[in-house]
Amino acid sequence: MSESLEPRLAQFRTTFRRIQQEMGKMIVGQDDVIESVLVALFTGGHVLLEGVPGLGKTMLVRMLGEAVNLQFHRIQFTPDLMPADIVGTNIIHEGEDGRRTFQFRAGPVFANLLLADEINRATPKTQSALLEAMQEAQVTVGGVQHELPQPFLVLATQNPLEMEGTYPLPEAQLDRFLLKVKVRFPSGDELHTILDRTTSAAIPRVEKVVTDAAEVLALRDVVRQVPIVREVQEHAVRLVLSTHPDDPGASPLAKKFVRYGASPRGAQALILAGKIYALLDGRCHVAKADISKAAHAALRHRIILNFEGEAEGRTSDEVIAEILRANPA
Amino acid sequence: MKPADEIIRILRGLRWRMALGDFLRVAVRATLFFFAILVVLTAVVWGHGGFRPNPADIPVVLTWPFVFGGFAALLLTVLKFPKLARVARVLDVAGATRDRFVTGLRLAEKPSTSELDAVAMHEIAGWARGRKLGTLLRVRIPRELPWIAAPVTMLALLWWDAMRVAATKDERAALATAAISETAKQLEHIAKLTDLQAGENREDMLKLIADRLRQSAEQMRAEAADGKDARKTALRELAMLEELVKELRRPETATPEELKALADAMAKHEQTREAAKDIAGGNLADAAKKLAQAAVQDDAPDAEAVRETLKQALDHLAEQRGQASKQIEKLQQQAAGGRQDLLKQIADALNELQQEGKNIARDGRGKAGSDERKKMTDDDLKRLLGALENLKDQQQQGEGPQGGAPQPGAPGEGDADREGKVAMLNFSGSEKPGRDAEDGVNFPSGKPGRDGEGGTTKDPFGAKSANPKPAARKEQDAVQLGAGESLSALIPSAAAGDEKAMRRYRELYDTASSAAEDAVAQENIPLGARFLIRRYFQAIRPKQ
Repeated sequence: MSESLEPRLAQFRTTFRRIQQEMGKMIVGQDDVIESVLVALFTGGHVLLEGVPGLGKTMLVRMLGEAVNLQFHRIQFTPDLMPADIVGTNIIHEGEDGRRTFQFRAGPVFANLLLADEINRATPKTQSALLEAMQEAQVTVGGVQHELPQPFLVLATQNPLEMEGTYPLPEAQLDRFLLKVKVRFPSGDELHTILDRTTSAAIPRVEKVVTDAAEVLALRDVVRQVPIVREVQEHAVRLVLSTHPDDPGASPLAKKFVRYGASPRGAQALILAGKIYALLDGRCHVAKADISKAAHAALRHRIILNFEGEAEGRTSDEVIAEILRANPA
Repeated sequence: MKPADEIIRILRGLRWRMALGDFLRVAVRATLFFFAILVVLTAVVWGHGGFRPNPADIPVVLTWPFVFGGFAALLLTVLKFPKLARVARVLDVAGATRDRFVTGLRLAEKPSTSELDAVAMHEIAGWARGRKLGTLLRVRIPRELPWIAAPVTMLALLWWDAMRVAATKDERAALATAAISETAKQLEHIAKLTDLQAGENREDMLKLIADRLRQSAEQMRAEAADGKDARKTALRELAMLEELVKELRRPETATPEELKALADAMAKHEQTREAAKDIAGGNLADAAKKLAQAAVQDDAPDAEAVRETLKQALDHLAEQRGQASKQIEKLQQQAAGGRQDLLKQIADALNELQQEGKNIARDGRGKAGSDERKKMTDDDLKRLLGALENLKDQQQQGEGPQGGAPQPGAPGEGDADREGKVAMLNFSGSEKPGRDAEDGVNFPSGKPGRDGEGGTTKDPFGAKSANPKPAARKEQDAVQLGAGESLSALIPSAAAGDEKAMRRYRELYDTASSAAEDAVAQENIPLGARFLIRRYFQAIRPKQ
């Protein structure tokens, strides 16, 4: 076995589990959410967290920032938020010699971890300001491109209940999120634990697991090397194609209730997430089960239901569940 | 060993196990398939009847689907020998290996490009090394195996039913054969006698008939053995023979009766009256000339009426199929075909008749022997026809197989009775007057004396029994036609006209009928035959 890779693989697993543990000190009962966020961190994707207020979404992102020792910024999205408020703007700067020049003042997007809280409250114009940042890891202000620090991870939250005065994210932006994670309400026991930890004098302290961003980037490189054979990749392709109503292999629900299926980014997300799950499982190759495990989070925001589906109260998760039943791992 | 080689070796080892499983599965399915074919074929044969399975062959027949199934399975297994990729897929599914074997195989097949590929191979090989993978590919008895019981059961039912039907058929065939054998024997007996008669008369036609009689007997036996309706077969064969003999008996040229009927029809019209008179007077050549002249005058007022009358007369004569001469039948067909020159055709026919009469006269004595033989043959055919009609009557009256096969010990069985039946077919010499006059050859012999006394023979041509008893011989001699009391009379004026013939015939009848009545009352004649004789005399009584 390779001498150089084995420690790195072990390091990856250790790092991942330790971050999970550290975050778990404060975030109770959201292990799958934590895992999904870490998957996004180590694959270079972004996560859309959906849940009612008070479930610890913001806390989760903050804890992540603390655990990985990365720069963390938070933007509270409101209807009057402007794109410049996110990406930054050129301001006139008067030098000592009296000369005035434009000087770029970076916005909150310049961080390793960006929490876009209640992203659906901002106008589409403001929302789209994140498009370039999320996809290209850079922003363009005044014709000048500014690289974002790496790793760059956007964690957006949205409230599925309060739809008044909100602007649903456009499909193009939704597609740029690697995963969409639903934050569920904690169970009774979990709630007790939350209360114990947050209302007592001894508040848990999150220790830093990753010392710098370079370490995260190195681990990302390991993840990308995980091999995946054609048969397993075929499984991911089949899952994505099955979401398309026009595809011959589409599931009955997809044919009936889906307007647009998942994009190729969905397949990419499946593979990348599958690689992380494979490593976490102690394997060095991706299995179909890994792909299937990532299916809900990777595809649910990429499937656009038609009017009939929405009228009947169908969800994209139902479509994905049926596709997974039809294509077992 | 390298991890890649190790993975390949594992997969190859398991491939044989999978091939064995495939072989068993395909063998059972192929066996089911061949059993299905066997069931279908058996059902088709069974449906058409005539299926007669041999119980000794059943184990062999049951073996064939297995043999074919095994062979087909072997062939298919060799042709579709499991590939390593399939083995890997099956192993991954069966063992929940997280696609280790598929991945391992693919990585082993291509040169390693990534460091992590090698790590993955190590991990997969290590994982597989510590596991009993043989349990993932267990060679199981195919679940379709119990289904073989279904076609086997169907075959068993079909065979059972076929054997049951065959047994019933055999039984029926045995009864039919027994029932038909008597008639067939009689036919063969008649054939033998016909052969002898043919030898005596040097007549090929009789030989032909004898052969046909034998063929019919064989046919009847064959169809009875095949379980077919013996009575129908017998009746059909007898009817065919009867038709054949009737056809052979039919005269070639018009008979005097037909000429008379034709003359009667001609006498109704002025145009042909003279010709009719010539025909009645026996002057056929003149009649032909006059008719030819009349035919030329086609524009005569009653030409169409003459043709119509003649056509009706010919139709009437031809209706008596089997009796009408071939010449008359030909004329009738020409008339029916709308021939306008009907009178000319009749004239030609009369000329032919006249020519034939001249030929006979010219040949003289040289022809006499031939004529005599011809007459003998005709008499023989008459008697043969009577015998056949008698046989047919017996069949129709239920003495054939359908009417009840002769049962052992039942009345009517035994040689004496069979001889009695044959005796009903017998005819003594043809010289007896009154017998030939009536075409009633199916009329029983009516010879006095009991059957047991040898008053009858098996010979429809009048041959004597082989060893008649002396007493019976004497009586037989006494009643032999021509040897005993007989009465014969020739009525030469019969051809002149109805009136003269009737007068002479009435006198003759009065004389003969009283003698016949006395003979019937006094002689030892079976009661049933007495009635028939009386009815015969009543049938030939002169018109009042």
